[in-house]
Amino acid sequence: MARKNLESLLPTQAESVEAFIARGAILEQDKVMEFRPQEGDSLGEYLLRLRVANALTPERVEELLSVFPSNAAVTRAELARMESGSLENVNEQRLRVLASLYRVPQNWVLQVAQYHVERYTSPLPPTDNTFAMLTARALQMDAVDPEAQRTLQEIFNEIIAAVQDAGSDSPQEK
Amino acid sequence: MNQHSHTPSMGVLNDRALTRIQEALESLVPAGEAFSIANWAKGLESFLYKRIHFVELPLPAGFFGARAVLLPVDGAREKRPVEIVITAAGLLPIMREHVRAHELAHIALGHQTVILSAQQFAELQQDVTVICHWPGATCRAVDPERELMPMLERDIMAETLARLAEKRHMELRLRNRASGITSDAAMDRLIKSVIGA
Repeated sequence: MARKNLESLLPTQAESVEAFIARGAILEQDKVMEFRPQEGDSLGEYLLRLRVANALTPERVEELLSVFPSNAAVTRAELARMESGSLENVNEQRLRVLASLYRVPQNWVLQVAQYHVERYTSPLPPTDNTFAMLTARALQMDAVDPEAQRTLQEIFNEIIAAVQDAGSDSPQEK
Repeated sequence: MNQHSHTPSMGVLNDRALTRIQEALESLVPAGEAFSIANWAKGLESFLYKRIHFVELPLPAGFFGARAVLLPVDGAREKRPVEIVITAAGLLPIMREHVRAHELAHIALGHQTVILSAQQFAELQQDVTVICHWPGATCRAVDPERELMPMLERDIMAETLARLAEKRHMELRLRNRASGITSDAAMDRLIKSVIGA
């Protein structure tokens, strides 16, 4: 379990999402400056870093935000997808809610997600998060012996079947 | 490793990066007897709500490992994002374990990598280099050209975390093995001789 060094802002049972966001909007940023975005941060990486700093599991985030409507709440699966780099579940309200929960200024999360913000905060200089292109030389699958290929095929099919619609076939079944 | 390979060193990372590595080591890597690649992956699966699959593929010469993420479609049996950790086929078991540790370290540090569709994942069987062509894909490689690239810092962070996790475990095993040695100095010498400290 992660060590805690940010104090989560918890929604109350009867609180509306607007009221929670309003509470989150007045947080003092001076006390959490070390958690501001870094140059080159992706949204997923930044959200995960904030969750780790809050020592919150995905289940706990889902539970805490379950008091809000579905377009502001976040399920554990949606959160995991966002942290993996998927933007399909991202909207401004969700980002404001997550920033408030993690007790950092909403603008920080919004600017990482490339939303327009009133006040831009200079990010921390990069440490580890500059993307770069990689190149590689091609190597074909026939470098593997037939038995290993068959085993690999089975593993691939199993994984693909798990992530696709229950009714659909894997794309490359032979 | 040849002389061009990047040797991870704590010295090239700034304090913030080192703090993050230390926090990840303490909070997201199983300690003591519980440490193993399987247990580390299991812990990450739980904390990140993901599945982690290890597969071996014939990666190009010089590439040891890579990772990709698959996102399940609505209605799929699997609800969690699936992290595919690829190791080069034919590695010695100890090397394979280390490459897996390195990729798990990337995951623990929240480093993003390429997101593949199921179709793209299936196509890796024809040309696995697809995964290494993507910007932002994390690949473990020995390639002199990569020394010039800024993404090395990210890679060094993962390598540092992986090595610290393995070193911590190795020290524990040595302590257990050397429990019959009565002198602290003798035990320290034994540990240092094995880990090269």
